Amino acid sequence: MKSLPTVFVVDDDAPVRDGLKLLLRSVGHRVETCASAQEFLDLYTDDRPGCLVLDVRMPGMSGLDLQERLNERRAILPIIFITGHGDVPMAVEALQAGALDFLQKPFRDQELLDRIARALEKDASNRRELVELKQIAARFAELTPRERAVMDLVVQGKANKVIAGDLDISQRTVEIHRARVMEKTQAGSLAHLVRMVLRLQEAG
Amino acid sequence: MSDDSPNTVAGTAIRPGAVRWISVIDPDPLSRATLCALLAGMGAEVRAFEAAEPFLAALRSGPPACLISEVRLPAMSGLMLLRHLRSAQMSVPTILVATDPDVPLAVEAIREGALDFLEKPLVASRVTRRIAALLSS
Repeated sequence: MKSLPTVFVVDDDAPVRDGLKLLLRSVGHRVETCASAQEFLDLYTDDRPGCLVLDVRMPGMSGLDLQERLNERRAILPIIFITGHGDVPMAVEALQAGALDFLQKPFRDQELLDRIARALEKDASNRRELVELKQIAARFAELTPRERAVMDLVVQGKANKVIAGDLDISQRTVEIHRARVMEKTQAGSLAHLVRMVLRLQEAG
Repeated sequence: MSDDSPNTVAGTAIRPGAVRWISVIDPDPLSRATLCALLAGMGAEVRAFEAAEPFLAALRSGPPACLISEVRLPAMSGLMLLRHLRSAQMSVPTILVATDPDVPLAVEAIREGALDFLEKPLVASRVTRRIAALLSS
């Protein structure tokens, strides 16, 4: 089920596409090319790891438009823009929208290869992070509403006695719920529990 | 600065009563004065500096709501200032500006944590719009 990372190249200029494909294959990357943003949108599914080398200016949907569409569907594929024009506002916009890099032609092959290596590393670590988050979320989903209520107060640093008062239950019941929370979430300590709760909150 | 709009761009005035001061760092007296006038016109209290070092010294009395800094400064550059603020864990929303910047500089500025990067000459309406957006977020 785990697929190998692929470098996707989207550029309307056929010689550029072919040149990049040769270069990237020569260093052992898996490469897929598309002549338009639409073609990429049609073929790409978010579960495919890798990175995207994207031309800014293309007829029809531009590179920035494609980035926006990918952001809308919450794709996490890192994007390296390439451009023939020294367009500063465009570079700023692309980076603000989350692009990993913005490379101006002419560039040396090695410059692009270095950036691709960095993009693939970033993608791999983002995907590991996502898997971990999903596992944590699945464990937290096992909690009953009452356990959740106890946990919310526990992570606020409240003592069992205070929690018992807040929820109008016995201290013994709080202790039992608390132990179940730690067990179900596989939290090794209160600090660990708090960190997991924060990570889930950050991920929305 | 091209004065395509007076200092009162619709919707960009800072709410009265909001205690907000904005810092400007620019070694060039003319562009510093122009930018300060524009920001003052938005209703902001502006503190201007010729270089990064005096700005950092003034930070001890509390951070500004935001900072607009030229990249090219006499000693510590705008990019170095961003790095310094980050390593000191001081969060100052910053807009960097530069004359005739190239793409690599713009990329580095955003990478280093600038929220925005504008080319000089500044367009008044763009500056006020960005500042208003920054302060409202």
